[in-house]
Amino acid sequence: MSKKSISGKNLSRGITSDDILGKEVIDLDGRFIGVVEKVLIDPIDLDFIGIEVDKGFLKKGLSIGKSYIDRISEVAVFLKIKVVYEIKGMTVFDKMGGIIGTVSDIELWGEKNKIKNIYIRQGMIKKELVAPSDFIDSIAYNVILTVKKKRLLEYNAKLGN
Amino acid sequence: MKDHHRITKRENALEDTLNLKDSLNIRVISKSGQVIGKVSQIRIHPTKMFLEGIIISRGIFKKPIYIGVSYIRRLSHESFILKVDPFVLLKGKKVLDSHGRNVGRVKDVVRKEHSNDLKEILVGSSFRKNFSINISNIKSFGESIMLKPNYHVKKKYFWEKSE
Repeated sequence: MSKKSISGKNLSRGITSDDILGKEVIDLDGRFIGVVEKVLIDPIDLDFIGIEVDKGFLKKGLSIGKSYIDRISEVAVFLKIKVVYEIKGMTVFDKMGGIIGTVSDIELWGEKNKIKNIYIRQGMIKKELVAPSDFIDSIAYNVILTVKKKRLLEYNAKLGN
Repeated sequence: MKDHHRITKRENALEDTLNLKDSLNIRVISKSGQVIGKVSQIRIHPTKMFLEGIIISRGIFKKPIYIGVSYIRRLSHESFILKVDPFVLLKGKKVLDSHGRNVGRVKDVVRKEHSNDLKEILVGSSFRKNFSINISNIKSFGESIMLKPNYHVKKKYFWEKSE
């Protein structure tokens, strides 16, 4: 049976929330982030504003704004970014390749996907270190810093850590 | 360090050099921070006496990698850091098409001679014949390999005859 429409425009190109829910979310690196759990809509503008991602059992969910979404395909939702929260647990190496510790937490600029500081756990006894974003050389499999461990320790000593 | 006689012309002072013995068994990290393995040998040119490359041992079941010094960015007593991500490490990675569909896994890589310049990857999956994908059809390398939207994977199962 054909459906009636009172939209004022052609809605045939649109997709429904059912088409998005349950889809895999893939970041810029091709990393699987989770599956779409909710579609977020602004109650005033009635605009699509983002998605909520289920990252799996015992993991915190993640909200991703519309501006970080590249496209929605038949199978997956592609992001324009690497989700910075994914660096938690990565190993941090200094400039010379020495292991400093693992990323225990991150601080972002507001709610943007931009790192302000990363917190590095050095083990059970040693104090946690802070590394600002300008100390970070690359983030992919692990984190490589632009500075030697000595410089990082000096920076933290200045902060009073 | 013990006091020593220094006999050099233009060479660095002893303090500014690395002891190769200490550099054995240290970790090798790729450009993106992946720990590839440990240095098992350091190879030197027999006549010119400069560093030619290192052999990276990756455990019992994996082939070691001999990588030339031109791909090494930094040496220290703690690590060797490479300038590149060796493409041989792509083996086993997932390949996704532009829709996010799993196309298969990398079975082998074809490089330009022995360099780290990739020509194509050989992809395979269960019930499907291995097929090659040219580098021009690859959008990005990361956790998985993403293909460009204009590339369409032809389904060919193992019972189909090859052309």
